[in-house]
Amino acid sequence: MSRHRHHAGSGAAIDRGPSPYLIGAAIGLLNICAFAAFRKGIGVSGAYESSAALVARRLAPDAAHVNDYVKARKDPPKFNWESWLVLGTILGGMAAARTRGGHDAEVDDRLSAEPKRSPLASAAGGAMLMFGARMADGCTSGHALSGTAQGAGSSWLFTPLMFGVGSLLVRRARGARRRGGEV
Amino acid sequence: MAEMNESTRNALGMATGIVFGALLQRGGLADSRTIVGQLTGDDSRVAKTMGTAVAVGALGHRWLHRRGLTTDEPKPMNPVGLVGGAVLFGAGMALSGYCPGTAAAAAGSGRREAVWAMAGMLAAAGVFVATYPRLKRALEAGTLGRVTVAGGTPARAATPPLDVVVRPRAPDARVKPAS
Repeated sequence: MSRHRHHAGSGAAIDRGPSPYLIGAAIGLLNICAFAAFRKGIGVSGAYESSAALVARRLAPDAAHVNDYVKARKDPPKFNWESWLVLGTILGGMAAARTRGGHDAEVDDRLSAEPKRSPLASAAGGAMLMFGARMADGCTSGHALSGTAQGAGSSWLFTPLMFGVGSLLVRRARGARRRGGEV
Repeated sequence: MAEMNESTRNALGMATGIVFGALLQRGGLADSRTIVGQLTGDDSRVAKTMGTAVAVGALGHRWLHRRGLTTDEPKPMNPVGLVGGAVLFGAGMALSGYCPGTAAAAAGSGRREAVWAMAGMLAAAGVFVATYPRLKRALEAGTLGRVTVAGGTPARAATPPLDVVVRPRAPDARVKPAS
């Protein structure tokens, strides 16, 4: 495999990082390892659900809806390899940012190109997409990355629709902001 | 691959996550601006990265599957859950600029907005757990079972048109008997 073109040195503010094709190929290879090791591709959103279910059971072990939930899902929630994968993803993001020099947030402050998202927008958006991901039984990793590679019909329905809706809404919002700004 | 014990699986899951998170961060995907840039069409890194990852993953999956080294359990085709979920997911991704994986990598890399996004995700996962017993029937209404999109087989010279192989599983794949 070819190496990175160069390693980002210190103060590489304009550096866009390694080629997206290289990163994509590496993620693809990582997913092949997952298919072999776990007999399942990389998936992230399921771990959020099982973690929430474990917390709910811990806080209110006798609540009726927790028991109904465990009955409705085939297997009871567990803190399994997928949950460890999410913890690993946090650590991996941390390690990659640190080894390049500091937090991403500090780099953001230097650049300050685009307005940052408000906490409310971030949390509300996160809540909407997670509910959607659990309705559809997968997210950008479980469906768009792994399911499409498996040729799952469900993933090929979910992925274009999800990106299409997101794209439409962002473009509409931007158009509305522009018109608002001109007046 | 031989069956491995629980702690080995967990350790491998953690290792997979670390590499995954580092790749997302280095690829610039652990940043809401990159994702929103893809949605507006100003930044094509998400499409390039994911397209390559899916192509490589598909070749590897095919190779493993032919040798019986991985199972082929596509997620079930539940039109209601998938369409409703995709609309909500797309809207949420447009609003937050993240998805569950990239938010985790971004939170680790020090972006506070990603921590807020993850908090929203966990809260919504809790709401889903609480409402799932009531939603289950609606989400699985009209399910087609596990559908595989076959086509573009490299072994064949001409690519056949997409054909949908409907493979209904055990009776419980259609409608769970009301309990």
